[in-house]
Parts: sequence; C-alpha cells; structure tokens
Amino acid sequence: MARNKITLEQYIGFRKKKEFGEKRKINVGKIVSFTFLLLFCIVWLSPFIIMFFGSLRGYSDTMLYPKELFYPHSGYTLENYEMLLLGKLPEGIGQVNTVQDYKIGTWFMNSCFSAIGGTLLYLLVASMAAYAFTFIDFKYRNVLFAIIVASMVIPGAATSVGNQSMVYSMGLNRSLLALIIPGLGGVYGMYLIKTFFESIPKDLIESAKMDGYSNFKIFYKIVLPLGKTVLFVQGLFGFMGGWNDLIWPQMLYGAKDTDLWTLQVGMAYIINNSKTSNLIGSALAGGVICLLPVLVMYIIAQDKIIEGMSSSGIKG
Amino acid sequence: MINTDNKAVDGGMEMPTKEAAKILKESGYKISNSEVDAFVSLKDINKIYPNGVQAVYDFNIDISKNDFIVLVGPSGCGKSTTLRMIAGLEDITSGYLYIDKVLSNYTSSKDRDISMVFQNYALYPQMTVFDNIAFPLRARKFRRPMEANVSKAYNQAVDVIEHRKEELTEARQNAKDKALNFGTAVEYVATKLKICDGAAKILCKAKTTDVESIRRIAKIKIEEEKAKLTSKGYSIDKEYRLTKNGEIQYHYVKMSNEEIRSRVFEAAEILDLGPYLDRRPKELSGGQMQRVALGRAIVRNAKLFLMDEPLSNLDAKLRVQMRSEIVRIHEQIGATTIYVTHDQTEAMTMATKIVVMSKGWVQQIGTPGEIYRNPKNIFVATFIGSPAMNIFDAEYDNGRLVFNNGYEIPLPDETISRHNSYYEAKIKDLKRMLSTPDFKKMHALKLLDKHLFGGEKAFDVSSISDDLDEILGITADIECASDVKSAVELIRAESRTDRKALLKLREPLLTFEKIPSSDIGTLHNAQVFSKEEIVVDNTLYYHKPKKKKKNTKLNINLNSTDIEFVNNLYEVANGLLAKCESALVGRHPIRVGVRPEDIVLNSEFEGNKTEKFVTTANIVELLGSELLVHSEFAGSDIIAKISTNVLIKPHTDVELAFNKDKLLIFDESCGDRI
Repeated sequence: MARNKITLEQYIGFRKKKEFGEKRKINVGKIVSFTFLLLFCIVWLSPFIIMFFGSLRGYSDTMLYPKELFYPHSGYTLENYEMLLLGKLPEGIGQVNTVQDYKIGTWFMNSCFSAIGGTLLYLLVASMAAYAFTFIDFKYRNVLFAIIVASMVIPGAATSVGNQSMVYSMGLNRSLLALIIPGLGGVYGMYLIKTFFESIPKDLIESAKMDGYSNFKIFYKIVLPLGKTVLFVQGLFGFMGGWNDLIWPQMLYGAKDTDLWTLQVGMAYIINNSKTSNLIGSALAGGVICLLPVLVMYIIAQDKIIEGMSSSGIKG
Repeated sequence: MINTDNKAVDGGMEMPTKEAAKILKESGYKISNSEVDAFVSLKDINKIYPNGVQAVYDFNIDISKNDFIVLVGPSGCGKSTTLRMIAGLEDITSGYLYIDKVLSNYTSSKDRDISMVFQNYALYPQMTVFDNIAFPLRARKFRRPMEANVSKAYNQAVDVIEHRKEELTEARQNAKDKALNFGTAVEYVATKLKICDGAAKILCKAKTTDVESIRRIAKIKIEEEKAKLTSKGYSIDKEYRLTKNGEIQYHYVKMSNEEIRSRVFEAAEILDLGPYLDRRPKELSGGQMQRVALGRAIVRNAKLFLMDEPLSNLDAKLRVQMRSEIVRIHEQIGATTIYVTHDQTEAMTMATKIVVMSKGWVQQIGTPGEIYRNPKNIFVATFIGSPAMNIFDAEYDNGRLVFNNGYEIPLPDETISRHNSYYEAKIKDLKRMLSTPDFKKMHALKLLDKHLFGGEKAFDVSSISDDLDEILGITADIECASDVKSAVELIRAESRTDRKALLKLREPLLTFEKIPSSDIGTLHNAQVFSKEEIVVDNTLYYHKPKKKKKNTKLNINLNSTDIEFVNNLYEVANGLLAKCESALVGRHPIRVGVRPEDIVLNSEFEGNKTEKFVTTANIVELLGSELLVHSEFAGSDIIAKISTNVLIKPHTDVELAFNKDKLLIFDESCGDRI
C-alpha cells in the first residue's frame, strides 16, 4: 500500500478523531454551571480575602477602607498582630479600650487542649460505645441505642444550662476539664462510627473470639485499624467543633477568668473591643489567628479527609 | 473459664439443687457423662430462634477422633446453625453438646479449643499473611516450663561466636541486605541460626565479634541471673529450665516469637504459602486467601476443625483443587473436622461420614457409600448423586411394580416380604403414636374446634352432644379426664351454650407433654415428602411468645398455653395410618427410584436386568467417558448414564432396561425407603 493511501476502515476512525479534536461541542450547561460555581466561590472567599488583607493594614489606614483594600498607601504592616500577640500598641493610638490583657498564647493553648484533648477522649469513648453496640450482644441493646439516638433531637442549647450546673457541682468551674467532659456524651459521632463498624464483617470478630481474644483486644487489634478512616473524619469534626465552640466556654468561665478563656472567647472579647473603625484591623488579625490552625490542619490532611468522607458516606 | 486442672464430674448424677451448685463450683464447672463415648457428641440438639422459628430439630451424632464429617443439605436446612452451635457462636436451645467428653453447652467459644474456617475467609485486611496466621497463637497464654532466659541467650550467643562465625557474618549481612519476610534483622538472624531471640539480639547489638569480650560479659550476666534465681529457690538444669526440689516448674506465658515463627512456617509449608507471607490479603487470589484461612485454623492444633462452606467462593476448577488439598491436609494433621456444604459432590468426595439434613431434620447419617447405595428416604436419594436419581410413579400390585404405561417389573420374594414387614412395622408404630395422651388430646381438640371455629356464636347442646360424648370417650384414660368431664358437665347443664364454655373445655386439652421428636420427624417427612398437595407449614409447632392480645373481640385469650400447633399432627398421623393399612391389602401407589447409571443399554448389560423398553433419546450429552441420555419413560423424564462404547444419536430410539438389583422403592406417603 502506498504511503499516502489509507483504507476506508482507517479513514472512518481518522475522521472521527479529527471531528472530535477540532469541533468540540460547546457545552452551554457546563459553562453556566462553571460560571455559577465561580461566582459562589468568589462570594465564599471574599470574607477571607478581606479578613486577610484587612489584618495587614496599619492603624492609620483603616479609615480608607474599602478603596485601598489591596494597596494601603502606607504599605503592609504587622502592627495588628504585634498588638494582639505582643501587646505592643502602635504609635498615636492613644487610650485603647482594654480592660483585660490579650493573652493570646494562653487562649491558644486552652483551645488546643479543649479541641485536641476533647477529640481524642471523645473518639475513645465513642468508638468503644460503638463497638459495644455493634458487636456485643447484651440485653436491651436495641432499646438502649434507640433511646440514645432519640436524645440527638434535643438541641445542645437546651441542655447547656443543665450541663453547666452539673459541671459546677462537680467542682470543675475553675478547670479546663469542664470544656471536655460534657461533650463526651455526644451521640452523633458514636452513631457515625457505629454505622461504619457495622460494615465490618462479623466473621472477623467471631473468628478472633474463637481464637481466644477478649473484646478489648479485638477492639484495638482489629476494629480500630479497620475503622481508621471514620475515626479520622470524626476526629476532624470533633476538632472543628471544639475549636469553634464559643457558647459553652463563654458560659463556663466568667469575665475575670481570662486564664481559662479559649481563643474563641478571647476573640469575641477582642472584636468587642475593636468596635471603633480604626481598630478593625486587630479584629481581623484575631480572625486570622483563629483560622490558621484549622486551615493548616486541613491542608495537611486533605487527602485523608476526602477519602474518609467518601468511605463513610458523608456528603457535602 | 474452665480450669483445665480440675477433674470433671459426672453430669448424670441426681442431687438437690444446693448440692449441685456446690459440686459444680468445686469441679470448675466441668461436667462429663459416662455414657458419652465419642470425641464429639451432640445429644438432642434443638435450636429455636427468638422469633419462634425452629432451625434444628433433635440433632444426634457421635463423632470419633480423626473423622471428617460433612453436613450437607439444601440452603436453609440448619446445617450452618448446627455448626455455629458447636462453635459456640449460637446458643443451644436444648440438648447437650460434649466436646472431648466435657459438656460444652455453656462454655464460651474460646474455651472450646476449636478453630473455624469461614465462608468469606475472615482474614484481617490490615495484617500480612504471616500476622494473620500467627494471630491465633498470640491470643492466649500457654503452659510452658520456666526458663532462665538470660543464661540461655548468652550461652547460645557465645556458642555461635565460637563455632559458627561464618554463618553469623553471613546472616548479619543478609539481614541488612534484605529483611526478607521478617520484620526485624534480629528475627532473621534468630531463625537463620536457630537460636532464641535473646541470643540474636545480643549478637546483632554486639559491636565486636571478639569471643573473649562477649564471653566476659556473658559470664557476669549469667552469674547475676543465677544468684537471683537461687535466692528464690530455683535451680537451673541443662536445658535452662528452672527446677524446684527436682521438679520442673511451669507457668503460663505468651508464646515466644521463635515458637510462633516456627509454627507459622510449618503451616505455610503444608499449604505452600511460603512466598506470600509478607503480603496482605488484598494482594492474594481467592485460592490463596482460602489457604491462609486454613493455615490460621491449623496453626493452633485445635481439637476440632469447623469449616463453613469454605469453597463456595471459589471458581469450579479451584474448588476441585482445594477439595483435594483439604483432604490432604486432613490426612496430614489428622484433626477431627466438621465441614458444612450444600454441594453433594464435596460431601461425597471428602467425607468419612455424611450427615444429610433437610429443613432442620437429620435425614440420614452414614459413610458416602452407604448413603449412595442405601438412602433412607426419597430426599436423600434424590439429593445425593449427580445427575439426580430418576423417580417414577408406579403402583405396587401383589409383588409386581406396574408403571403407568403398563410396563411391569416382578419383584423378588425378598423385596415383597420387606415391603410387607415395613408396612406392618409402620402401622404398629403409628398405632402406638396415636394411643399417646398427646395425640388423644389433639383428636379431641379437632372434634371441638370444628364447632368452636365453625362460625356460629352459640349452639344447642343437643347438636354437639355426640361430639361431646366422643371427647369424653377419647379422654377417658388420660390424666386430664376429670377436668374434661367437669367442663362437659358444665356445658350440658344448660340447653344452649356459647363459645366461652367451649373454650373452658379446650383449656385442659391444650396441656401437651413433649411429643417425642422421632414421632414429629416421621410426621414431618410424611408431609414434606408425600405427593399430596397439602399446604405445608414447615414449622410444626413453636413456642409462642407470651404477649398480651389487644382488641380481642371475644376478650378471651385463645392461647391458654404457650404451645400452638400449626399443623394438625393428629390428622397427618391418622391419614398415614389409613394409607399404610390400605397398602397391605391391595394395589397402592409407590415410587420407584433408579440411579442414572442403573438404566442400562439392553444390548450391553449382561447382569440381572428387567425387560427392555424402547424410548426416544431427546438430548444426548457427552461427558467424555460417559453419555447422559435424556428421554421419557412412563410419563416422567429420565436420565441414563451410559458408557461411550455405543454412540447414541439424539432423536433416535434406544433400547434400555433397568438394573434389577439396584431398583429402590419408596413409600408414596412418607418417602421412606422400603
């Protein structure tokens, strides 16, 4: 066959490819949906952008908002952060309306303790409860579980006053443990973990039982390694919840116990104190400080979170 | 937990409750029975699920050591439930289970010393094959002699350095190069040089291979340990075991790593799993996963192996291969095995003893040959064997079998006498059954319920007077007679009566004792295997959960006891009796079974055969060495298995005959083999 000749069989495929490559159909639906998504993306991102750039503007620039959002005429400055973290007031600010010192470091540590410690402890309690509800046959198991799940409908705000008085009567009103303990009875995470545990074949547990393993050993040797992903997802949820919680720590600790405040309570206080428009920068800087750990954590664990969420069937 | 040191007490003794508690506590809840002789023994095992469905009826079997028992039956026949009850994964409702002559009903599954292979392998996905197989070994503590570990390690280490220096350097080099299947270099060196882990650790950590320096350290350490042990009163013998007053001391410890390794390698060798030890189950094929599951079961040297349809997830070729593999392993390690399957081929090829089950009832127990040649009833006959046995409807007429196309087979005298004695025995048995109080009560109930649930609300006493008389007559000699009598008198006191009064009469009749399970089994088979179209409810009776009835119109609880009879056993028994009686008199329907290989070519077969018959071969299947000829005879499809010496073409006429010695006759009404 000559070089420049092709068979009809080949030509059909060739033409198809050519068509596909050159005249790709313009998909209107795709463009519309893309535009909408982009729009929402911008709307979603804009507060973060404003927050970030706003926090970098100096004390004297803040009045020129929003005209100079991205290009403050006196340049970017870290004075807002200095004010929050080091207590160094910028020049010419005069009398700042502070009653309490900003103890960002302490608040940060408190938040970490509440979020990380609470999450770990909750994971332990919830996964053990989920194991018991899934694999151990005890009397009234289903009834008990139904009651526990039914308690999910009671809003947290309704029980918070009761929780508060209980924690106080336990003598924990001056202790950080009060941040953690009431949360350990949470149902949602336990329910999530239980749903995942139910997908573990019962054979594995029965086989291990026949080999002579106790429930606790089966729990940490078989069920926990298999349930890693769901524990990770629940861990993230728990961390976010603990980190972002404002009402509960605010209820627990009074205005004078600044050493016990969490970052969120502190931030609320800072924002309260920054109501004059020239102090807006410090409030925004506070927001960035709050956001940063969660953001960093998300970026590190992004893959695992997505994998875990899809495997445990959580949407959105 | 059962304390293994205690001696078992005989469970058959009778004594007051208090004493029983005391004796049980002393013996560590270990009970034996002098009558139980077999290695594993199931006595009258019943399983009723909480929802009232009875899955297993009176399972009885004695299993001796090294047996390979196969439970076989269609799905839903209770074979897996039985296995799970033996394994301790399912509670036993009633009956006794003896494993190694110890009552094991209430021991937890981990204390029964059983290992099990599951249908879906149940491998731990996060562990390697090695860890999977080693998993059962890491669970519990074993009785081992106490050892002087430090002395042992140092002595071995010194020994290796002195005499096997080249080996050591080679092993250490290899350990660095490739960790092979081992987690750590220490483990590799220990396995390679066949020394304990402690010694390997010393050798790996030692910076020099200078004999003198290591010997110096060893001396100090050994002296230290010796001083410590002698202060406690122990002395060390040649094999580093600790002795006290001349006796070797034992303690319960976890299995050492080197022992686990040697056991896992041994199992892996038996199963050809060597190259896969460091893989995870995900990376294995189905057959390999199955072998790992087997390895996990055999590594523990358990008393009893249980296998729950282990081959059903494999493809056909692999299944055949694994079948012989399992038989080979069974012969190699000789463990007693109970194997569950729905595949009769597996059962026939693997078992030393087959248990055929149907709908919770054991139909027959026997060796494969026995079951194939002498099936007890029509279910076993058709279930075992492939292709299935041909069943014809025929009539028995004074020693002749008459098929419905007029074909006749005269039966030998021996068969005729067996036929007669079978029916005589059956009649005797049914009469005994019907004379028991429970059946009498059921008879009375039948008479009563005719009126009670007839639709009317009130009756004239005169209209039911005859039946009342009959009820009185039936119940005259059983223990509730006086109650019945008083109830009847109460009814007769007035001219008209209503349902309330009749229900009063029903109450004493509803108190059943236990009907022997063998009787229920007979009647169950009579319903399931008979040709008559009865609406068969497979649950003959069940324990109705006590529940308050809401909104009853009558305002009376109809279920005065907790047993409700779904089927009318009395009617079934009565019908069976009538049929058996008529069978002895004259012509009666019967079923004839012929195995495919016993339908022979008339021209080929030389033995004792029946008259030839001509039929058209509809389909001919070539199986290589044999032909399967599908054709029709006497109104039913038949399959004949014929050797390929003669080529038979489809849609041609063939001359066939039955092998007369192998004809099987089944009773029409209850499916039993005559």
